Amino acid sequence: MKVVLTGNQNSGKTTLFNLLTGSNQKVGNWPGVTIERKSGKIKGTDVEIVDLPGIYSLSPYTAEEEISRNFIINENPDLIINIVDATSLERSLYLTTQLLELDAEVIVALNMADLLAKKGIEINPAALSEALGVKVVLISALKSQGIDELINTVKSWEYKEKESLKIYPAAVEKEIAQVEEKLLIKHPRFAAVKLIEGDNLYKEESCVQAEISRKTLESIYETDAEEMFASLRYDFIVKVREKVVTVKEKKETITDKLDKVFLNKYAAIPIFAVIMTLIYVLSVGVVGSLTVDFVDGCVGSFSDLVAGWLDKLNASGIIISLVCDGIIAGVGAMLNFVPQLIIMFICISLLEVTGYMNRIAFFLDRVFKKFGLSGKSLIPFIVGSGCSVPGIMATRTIDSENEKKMTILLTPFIPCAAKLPIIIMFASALFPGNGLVEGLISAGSYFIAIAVILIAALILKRFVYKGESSAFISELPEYKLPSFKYVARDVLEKIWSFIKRAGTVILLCSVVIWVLLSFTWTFKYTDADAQTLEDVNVVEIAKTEFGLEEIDPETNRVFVKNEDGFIKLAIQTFDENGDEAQLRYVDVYKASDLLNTIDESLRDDKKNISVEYVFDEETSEHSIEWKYAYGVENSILASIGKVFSWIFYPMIGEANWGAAVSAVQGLVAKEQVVASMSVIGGFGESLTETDGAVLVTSPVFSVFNPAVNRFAQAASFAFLLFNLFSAPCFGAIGAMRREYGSTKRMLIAVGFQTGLAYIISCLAFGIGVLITLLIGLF
Amino acid sequence: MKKSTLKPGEQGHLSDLKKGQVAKVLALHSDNKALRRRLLDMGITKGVEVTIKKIAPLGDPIDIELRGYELCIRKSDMQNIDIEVVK
Repeated sequence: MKVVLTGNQNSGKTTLFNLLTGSNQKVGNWPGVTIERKSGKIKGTDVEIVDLPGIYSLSPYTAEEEISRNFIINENPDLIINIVDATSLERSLYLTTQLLELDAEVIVALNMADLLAKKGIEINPAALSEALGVKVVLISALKSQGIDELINTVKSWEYKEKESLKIYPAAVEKEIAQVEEKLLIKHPRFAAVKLIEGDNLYKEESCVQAEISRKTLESIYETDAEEMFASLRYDFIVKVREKVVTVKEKKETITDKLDKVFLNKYAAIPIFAVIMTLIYVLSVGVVGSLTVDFVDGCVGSFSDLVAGWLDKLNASGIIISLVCDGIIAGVGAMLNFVPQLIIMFICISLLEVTGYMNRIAFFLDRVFKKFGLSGKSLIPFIVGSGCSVPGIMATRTIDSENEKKMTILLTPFIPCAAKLPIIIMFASALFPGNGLVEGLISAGSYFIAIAVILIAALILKRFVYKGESSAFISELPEYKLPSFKYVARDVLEKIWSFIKRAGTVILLCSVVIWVLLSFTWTFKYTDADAQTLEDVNVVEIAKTEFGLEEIDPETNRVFVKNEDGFIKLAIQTFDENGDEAQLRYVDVYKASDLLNTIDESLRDDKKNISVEYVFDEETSEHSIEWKYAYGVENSILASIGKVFSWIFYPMIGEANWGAAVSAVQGLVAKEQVVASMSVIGGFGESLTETDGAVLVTSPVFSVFNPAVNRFAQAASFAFLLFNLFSAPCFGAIGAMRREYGSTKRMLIAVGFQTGLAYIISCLAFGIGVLITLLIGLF
Repeated sequence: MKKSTLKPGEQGHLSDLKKGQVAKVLALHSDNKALRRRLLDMGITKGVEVTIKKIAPLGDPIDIELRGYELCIRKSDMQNIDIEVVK
C-alpha cells in the first residue's frame, strides 16, 4: 500500500508529514534534481507515505511540480492524502478537483482549523465531504489536532463515499465520456480531460475523438479548452464554497496590518536591512564567531589531550600526527561551525515559517531578476560570508531550480570567515603594520566578490541556464507564529546531515591530503620528533643582540629559520612610536655543527634541519626546537605541486610550488593556506595571518616580497584572488554535491569556479604588471 | 508615464490599476503557453474579481487578492491580463 501526501505550498504539508511519521523518516534526493525526497511509515502502521513537493495543479510549471505530478500519475499510489488550506479554500480545491479525476482514493485533510475562527470563517466539513464525495478530516497541523482521526481514517480503508464525481456541465461530461471510452490506459478520466486540453502529457496517445471533442467544446464555450476547463473547475469550486463556507465578518487580517509595516514603501528595505544585520551578527558576527572560537578551543584541547594520551601509549609520531593533524584538524575545522550553523538555521527556519521569506523574495525580485536570480538568493550570500557550507544549504529555500543551481555555484564566491586570514596575510605582507590598509583590502574583497558574482551570474544566465527567467508567480502566505517543534526538527535534520558529512567525506579527504603531505614517494615520513637546541639561550640573545631586558610574549614575537648554513633568530621590536622596528636576523648557531651531531648512518641528502621557536607558558621558558626531517618540500604533495607549478606562472610570474601546494591545502579548510605557507616558508606553524611581512622573507615566497620582486603587489593580489574564488573547501564542495544531488554537476560547478578564478587572477596580474610598469615610467 | 487612473466601467490591463482598485478579468492572453496555463491554474479566469492589495517597495512585483488568497505577479505579466474596473 502506497500513500502520498500532496498539497499546495505553504499548506502545512511538511508539518503534517512529521506528525504522521514521527521520527521514522528517510531523506534523500529526487533523481536528477536538487529537491529533497522524504518518505516514512505512518505511525502505528506499516503504511509507507511519500511527501511530495508542493503543487498547485497537475499541469506542472516548475521542476518540483513535475516530480509531484509524475509520481502521482506513474507510480499509481493507492491513496492520496490531499492537504487543503482551509483559509484559502478556493485555490486549494483546484488541485483537489484534478486529483479526484485520477484512479486513486483521496482523503482531504482540511488544515489550519485553528485559524478559521480568527478569520471569521466557518466551514462545514460534512458538507464539503458530501460535495466532493470523499472523506474530509478537519485538522490543525500546527496544534497537532485531528491527526489521530486522520490516521484512523487511513487505517479504516473506507475513503470513497460515492462513485466518481461529475463536476462539469452535461455537454462537457458527454465529450469526456466519449474520449474515455477510446482509452485503455490508467486514469482514463484524467487522461481524457488532458487529451481534450491538448496537454503534452499524453502526446503519444493519438486520439481522434479528443480532437473532435476539443473542437466541439471550444466552439460552444468560445475559448480554448485549457481556459474552459480551468474556468469550469473554479465554477464548481465556487458552488462548493458557497455550500460549505460561511463568512461571518470580513475583518482586516493581522497579515494585512503587518504587511503595512513590512512591505511599506519606505520602511520595507530598512527593516529588511535590520533583520539581515541581525542574522549576520548572530550567525556570522559577534555571537557566531564566539561560538566558533569556543569550539575551536575545545577541538584544540581535545587534540592536545588525544596527543598526550597517544604519547603515553608510546604511539609513534606518525600515528599522533595522523590522528591530530589529519583527522581531528580536518573534521574539527568543520565541527567548528556547528553552533554557528544551528543559530543560522534557526534564523532561516523562522524567516521561512513566519512567511517573511516570501516577502523578501517579493520585494527584492526586481533587483535580482536582472541577473537571473531571485531575492531569496540574498540569504545564502549573507550567510556565506560566515561559512559557505550553511550558505549553500540555505539555497534550499529557493523554489526555482535554475535560480537554486546558480546560487549554489555563486555562494562560495563570497569571502567566508576562513578566507579572511588569507586576505589579511597578503595585506600585511604588502603594507606591513598598516591596519587601515588591511581593513580597506578586506572590505575591497567583498566588493570584488560581489562584482565576480554578478559577472558569473550573467555568464551563467547567458550560456548555461538559458531561456526566459521564470515568471515570478508566488503566493504571499499569511504570517504565522512559528511552531517550536517544527523549527527544532528542521534545524536538527539539517545539522545532522552536516555532521554526517563531516564524519565521512571530509574525514576521508582530510586524511588523503595528510598522507600526501606527510610522506615522500618512497613512503618515508616527512616529519620527525623535535629536540630542543640546548646550546642557544634565547633570553641571553634578546639582551645582547636586541637590547631587550625581557621577551614580552604580548608584544615581542620571535622568529627562527635555517638559512645559508646558519640557524637565524629575529625578535620583533618596536620603537618609541610603537611602530615596528626592522626585523633583523642574527646567526645563533651553525647548522653544520648540528648536522654533525646526527649519526652518520641516519643521514640522508634530502633531509634538512628545520627549526621552530617555542614558548612554554607554564615555565615561561623560551627555546628553539629543531628536527632533522624530509620536510614538506619532499612530500608527495610538494612533488605534485612542482609538476603543476607552471600553472601559476601566468598568475604570479613564477612557477611556484609553494603557492601551488598551499592553494591545494586550502581545500581542507581555507585558513590552512596561511598555515601551509608558514610551514613551507620554513617557519613551522608559528606564523599567523598578520605575519605576512615575515613570511615573504622566505626564499620560497620571495615572489611576494616587494623588496625583491618589483611585481610583488600584482602577484600577491592575483594569488589572493585565486584563493578567494577558486574551488571552495571540501566542506563546501560536499554541500554543493549534496544540494545538487549529482556528483557530475558538482564537478562542473567546481571546475567553473576554478576556471573563472584562474582567468580573473591572470587578468589581475597582467593589469597589475602593466600598472607597475607605467608607474615606473613616470 | 502612466495614464490617468482608470475609472469604474473602463477597460484596460491589470497593470494599469492603482493600489486598492478592484477589477474583473475579461481575458488572459500570453504568448508563453506555460505561463498562461499557470495563471489560469492560479485562478485568473474570465469573470474573477481581483484587488490590487500590495505593491512591492521597488514598484514591482505586485500582490493581488483573488479567490480568497494573495498572489504576487510581475507587472510585465499583468500587461497580458485584460480587465474592467469594478471600483
